[in-house]
Amino acid sequence: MGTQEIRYFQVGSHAVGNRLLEAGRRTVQSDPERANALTCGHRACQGCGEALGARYVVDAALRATRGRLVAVNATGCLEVFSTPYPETSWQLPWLHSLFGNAPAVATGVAAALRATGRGDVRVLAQGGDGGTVDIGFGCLSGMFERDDDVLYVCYDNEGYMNTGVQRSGATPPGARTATTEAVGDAPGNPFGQGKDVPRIAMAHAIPYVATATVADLRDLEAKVERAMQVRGARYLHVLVPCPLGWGSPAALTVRIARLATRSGLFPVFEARDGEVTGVTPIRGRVPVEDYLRPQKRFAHLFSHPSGPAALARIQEIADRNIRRYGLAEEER
Amino acid sequence: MRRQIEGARGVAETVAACRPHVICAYPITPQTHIVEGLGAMVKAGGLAPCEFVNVESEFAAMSVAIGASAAGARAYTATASQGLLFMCEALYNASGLGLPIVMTVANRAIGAPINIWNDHSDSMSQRDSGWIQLYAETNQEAMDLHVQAFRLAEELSVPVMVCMDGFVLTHAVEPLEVPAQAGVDAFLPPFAPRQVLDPDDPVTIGAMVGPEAFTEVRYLAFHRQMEALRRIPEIAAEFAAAFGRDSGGLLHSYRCDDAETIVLAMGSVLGTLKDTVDELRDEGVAVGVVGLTSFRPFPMAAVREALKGAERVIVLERAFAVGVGGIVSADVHTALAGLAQRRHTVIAGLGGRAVTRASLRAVLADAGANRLESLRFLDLDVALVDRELARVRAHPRSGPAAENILRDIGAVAARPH
Repeated sequence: MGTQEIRYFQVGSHAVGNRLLEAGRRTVQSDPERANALTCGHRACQGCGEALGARYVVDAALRATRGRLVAVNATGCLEVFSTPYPETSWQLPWLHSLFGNAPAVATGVAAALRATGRGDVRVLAQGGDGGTVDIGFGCLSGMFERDDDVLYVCYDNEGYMNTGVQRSGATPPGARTATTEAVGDAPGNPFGQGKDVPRIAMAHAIPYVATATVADLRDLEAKVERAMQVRGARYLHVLVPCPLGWGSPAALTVRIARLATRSGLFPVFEARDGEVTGVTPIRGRVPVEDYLRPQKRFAHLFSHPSGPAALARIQEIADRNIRRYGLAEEER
Repeated sequence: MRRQIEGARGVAETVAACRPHVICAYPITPQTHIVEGLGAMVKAGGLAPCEFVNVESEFAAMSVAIGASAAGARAYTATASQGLLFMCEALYNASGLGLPIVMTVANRAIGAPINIWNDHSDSMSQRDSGWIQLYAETNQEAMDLHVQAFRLAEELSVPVMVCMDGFVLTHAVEPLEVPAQAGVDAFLPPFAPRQVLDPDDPVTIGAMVGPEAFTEVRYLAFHRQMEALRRIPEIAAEFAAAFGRDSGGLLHSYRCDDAETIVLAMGSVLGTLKDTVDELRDEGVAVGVVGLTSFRPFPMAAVREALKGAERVIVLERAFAVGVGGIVSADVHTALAGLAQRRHTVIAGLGGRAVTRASLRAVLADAGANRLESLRFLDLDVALVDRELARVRAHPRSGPAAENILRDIGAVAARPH
């Protein structure tokens, strides 16, 4: 029996999609023999995008490496909710050292594996946006520059959620956090220049850089698989909505991640050796308001006098992303 | 075979003989020659399969060592001064995780004012980091201590800092005997980690620990160092039997028999101190020296035993705690609790200031005449300090103190304020 060329949006649900696919193309999570590397019983909030993303990433990495994998974790939500002693949720060798050193620790693990004749074992490093774009940034850049054999995954929920929702270098303009309150003439996070770490990673010309969201989990798995087929420094930046920090309903995590991509605010692309090699075009583009409105962290943009101007600037950011990456479907 | 080599080179060759798997390097004076030497050896293929990682900071250096050690590698790095402070968070993490990393600290002052010369401010600032701290008196001892340090670290699963005076030792060229490869191989078994990241037997390392177990985990760190108190002399004895040299141990007494005054110190200043004591002994003055090798763990019983017979104890320190005084002194005083002795702290040799025999003789003469204060800053230029204090009283904006003092002594040709 032949198979049918499937486009995921046609089926709406990955479960249905899996049934229509050849066995080899089905998702890792549809495999009853999947690793379940991050087991149930951890303490993430309901609707946590990071827990969802990490589960898909780690299981996909384990499948790609046939279980020959070590994980290093920065301090942060993922580390805290998965390991209150002695209830670790990790079913793979896992090391947490500090907040700002996960890339360097991963470098050390990779060096040790090579030096002790276990070069078949691969290394995955994980951190949130605080641990990646702020406090761990120096170590991350060093790991990129040396091209150490590490896949670093940043789960970006756009703030320091573990410490109570403070601003990070990845917090978007306009967002309310505990340190960028929605008060004053320009409520929320000021408009800065941003800190686009995927592009900074590309500037290091490392072999593989990609972005993904928890709205397209098969894409996330596929990028992990492709990343693990390459040696050297690799970077995967995953947008993971945080119901607590974003003030969004727990049931809408996946939908909000999808609106982030459909608005153009979070471009999904893949790059090799510093050049963009593929983008996920936007299907059914929406104005940024559609993405921002369900999130309480942006509520003031829809009530404060400065809101319309701020929304216009945010729309400009989305428009620039769409132009820069060629995300408009009609352009393809 | 003794060769005329630099201390740093000797340490590099000794570390190489210990067959490390991962060496992380970041340059900071005065330890640079050590990692330069190791880097060349690794690059030439002499240490294969060793990995030499040029990192972007000392924080990364210790972090790479942490990852390497947790993955089952024998890991080494070297640092000094600001570098040690920059890796401070990772130092506590390495010891908290019980990772047997060995690190050389080429002791150097901490700024401000920035200063590249020798004192013990850097390692003293990390006395509570959970690392074992061994202080070398000579370059030969520094080399020998590294072999013992790997053995001790890996037996107890605790990191060890080998502290050697920057420049005074690291850059001194003298006849040294690098421990021979065969001897080191016989003395130091292959690394058998207590915990290792292994896909065939997955463990979680670095989990969050709450009040229900934190005290116990921390107590075990204390317990490991108490075990080290027992093992350090035993390992030193084994080393002496294997290599024919006395190096390491907890402490060493020198001409302390019947000594009325004993000076306790650490590091290379012990050489000058012993020369001074020799002179004074020739003149009939009953003085002796205790050289402390193991500062962490602090050998309370051994220190008490070594000092209890003296009428007067002077602790000569190359660092101090601002607002209190001596750092080593505090522990020595604890060790001597209940004994009726005169006790003095002498802060000496800060930021590379030479500790001369003349100065030491003056201190000991004052001590003998009961003129030595409980806390003295050796060779402090009181007039210079007083001028700055007068300036501070006279001018609300008296300017940066270091610049003012340099101008007073004519070290900078800047316009007067």
